[in-house]
Amino acid sequence: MIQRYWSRAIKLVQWGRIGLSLRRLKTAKPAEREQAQQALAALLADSRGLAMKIGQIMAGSHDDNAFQALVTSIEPLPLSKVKTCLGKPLERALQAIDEASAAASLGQVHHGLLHNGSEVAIKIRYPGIVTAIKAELNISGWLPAGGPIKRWQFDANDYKTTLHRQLLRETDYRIERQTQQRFRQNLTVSGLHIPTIYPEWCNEGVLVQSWEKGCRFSETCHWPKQQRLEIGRTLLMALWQSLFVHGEVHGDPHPGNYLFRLDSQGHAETVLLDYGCTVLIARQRRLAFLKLIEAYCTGQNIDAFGCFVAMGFNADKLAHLQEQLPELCTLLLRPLLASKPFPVAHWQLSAALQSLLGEKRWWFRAAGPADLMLLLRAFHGVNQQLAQLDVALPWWPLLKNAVGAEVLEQARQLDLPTTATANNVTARTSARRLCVRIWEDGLPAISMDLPPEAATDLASLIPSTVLAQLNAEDGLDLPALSQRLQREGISPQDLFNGHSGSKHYRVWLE
Amino acid sequence: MDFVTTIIHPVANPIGAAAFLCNTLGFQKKSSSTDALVVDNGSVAVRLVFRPAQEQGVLHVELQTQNLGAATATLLALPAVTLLQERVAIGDTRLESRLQGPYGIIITVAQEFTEDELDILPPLPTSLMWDGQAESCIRQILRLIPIDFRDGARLRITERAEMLAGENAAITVTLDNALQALADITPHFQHPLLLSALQQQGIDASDQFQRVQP
Repeated sequence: MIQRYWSRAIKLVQWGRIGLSLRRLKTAKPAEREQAQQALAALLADSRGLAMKIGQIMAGSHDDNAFQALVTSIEPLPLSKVKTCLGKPLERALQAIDEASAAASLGQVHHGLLHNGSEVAIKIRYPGIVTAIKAELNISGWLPAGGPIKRWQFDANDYKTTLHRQLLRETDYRIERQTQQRFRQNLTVSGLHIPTIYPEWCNEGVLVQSWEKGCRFSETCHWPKQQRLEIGRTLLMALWQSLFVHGEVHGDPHPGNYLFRLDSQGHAETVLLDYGCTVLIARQRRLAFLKLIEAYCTGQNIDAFGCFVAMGFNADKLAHLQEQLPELCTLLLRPLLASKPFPVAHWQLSAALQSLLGEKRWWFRAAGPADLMLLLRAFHGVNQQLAQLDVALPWWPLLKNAVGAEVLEQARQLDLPTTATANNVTARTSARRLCVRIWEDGLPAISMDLPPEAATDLASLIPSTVLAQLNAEDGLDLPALSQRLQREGISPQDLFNGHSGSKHYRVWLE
Repeated sequence: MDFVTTIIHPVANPIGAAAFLCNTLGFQKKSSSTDALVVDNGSVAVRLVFRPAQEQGVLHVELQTQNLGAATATLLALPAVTLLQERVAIGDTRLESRLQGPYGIIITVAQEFTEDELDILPPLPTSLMWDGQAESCIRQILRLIPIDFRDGARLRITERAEMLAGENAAITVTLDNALQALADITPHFQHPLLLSALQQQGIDASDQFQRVQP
């Protein structure tokens, strides 16, 4: 019992240190940033399991940051410590097995040779990792859900559930085996290779597949243009086909999960590895997305709001962006709307979204379903890779080809949900924003604009010491104010003015 | 910000310099005062200010011409004009001759050549790979499009052909893609001329042109 609490306490300290490092990284100056990244990467690498997984997500697809160490140079466990996991039948079938060639967050990979001469990659789950992950997930459940999560009404539980479910799925290699076999059977994309599974040797903690040779992504950026174009096409079409046709997307686009090589005719071949993290997108959701894309690409009228709701977006939250939605779609779909091959490096999406939506971009994120985070990660991964390959590709024609006429027709025929909710929300919340201003000695000190709904929970936004003072000096009764707003609607009005020492506060809805 | 811009030329003999600019380069005297003379040609003004000979500056003047040889010869026939450099190539499309005029004036005579005059076929602004025959065919056929419209046509045909290649999930543009793009982006009245020119290259593009409805 004591040991369990001690272990949990150590994990908590570790998570605390990671949190602190993340905060330092966020506020670091450019010169200090690399150092902060290295410190955080070291902490995450020390942790294996959940923390390392987060580090891998932070590594993205760029080869030039400190988190790449988590992808390519994690120290594996010695073979002697994991060999018992193989099982007798596999041990008997093996002629030879090397020390681990690669280590990841949940397991490590060994190069083996079967008696029949086949070279295999044996992925072995770390002993005890499932228990460790479950313990860490309990701790991560205690992480605070304040700040933007509360302010913009993110469904934190939905995010946590998605993350937990995803991680636990990843620890069961039987699921990964089935997923990989499904991808191998379903995806028909030129230049894509998915390793063959040896199901007879696989179990919950061991995955055996064909050993694949190839170089890392960073090397391909120096390959001739033709081969870079081939890689880019394969990555893009694999994404389209897996999303729109099969409804399951590879959700772990970090560089360690790709190998690249040339076939006998000199064409580039992309080997896609690691099917532990995939995103399942239901038929209606993916067809609604495709319907939206096709309408924009062919210049037809479309109920974009209805499409987003059918994709799983929360109508009430999305209603705040209804005016900007057409322009938002144009930004999001820009590579698909281009009438020529699109160079992704020119797509400054974050800056464009910031310029269009400002703080309201959080509504878009909060309105999206939690698994959208994983899907966006897959999209972002392909974008980063295309930018690094420095190739421009014709997105819309490639999408049409990858998806096929039948699925496009199904998307056209999809009935969208009615979207009356949008108008109801707008009517109930007629204020456009909550404004908080604080002046100190007559000079502006804090200026903050928030979504109007935040007015119903001002207590969580105002420091408790200030709140106590306002209550004592001005008789401010925040619970009563919140109740009144919920009862009467969130309409433009002054909420309160007050003084506290040299500070003057004003909070209003406009 | 809008300004009226004048070039200042410190010169030992402002009156002589003004006469040279007016008599040979089409300037007109605009104003004069005790310390300066101003001449202009409608687009640029030169303020000629007196300085002793040892402090005289250099005024570079560039003249655009359609006939570099004739313009250079005409200027060299003037008194006090001598040749500094003749027919210097600047990039692929420009030739210059440089002449020393009087009063610190250096004259650059320049001629810009079109791709037709240079007898070159500029490369296509490609993003994908192109089949050799497809690229060569389009570069040749673009010659038939009036020079003023050609850059735009070159860009649009290239982009269209690459999008057509994408519909077959190809990264290499084929001759069929290129011909279809040509048919798609050129006005219908030009089609007979283009078809005939293609036939002279041994290419039958009737299928691609028939797919485009007038």
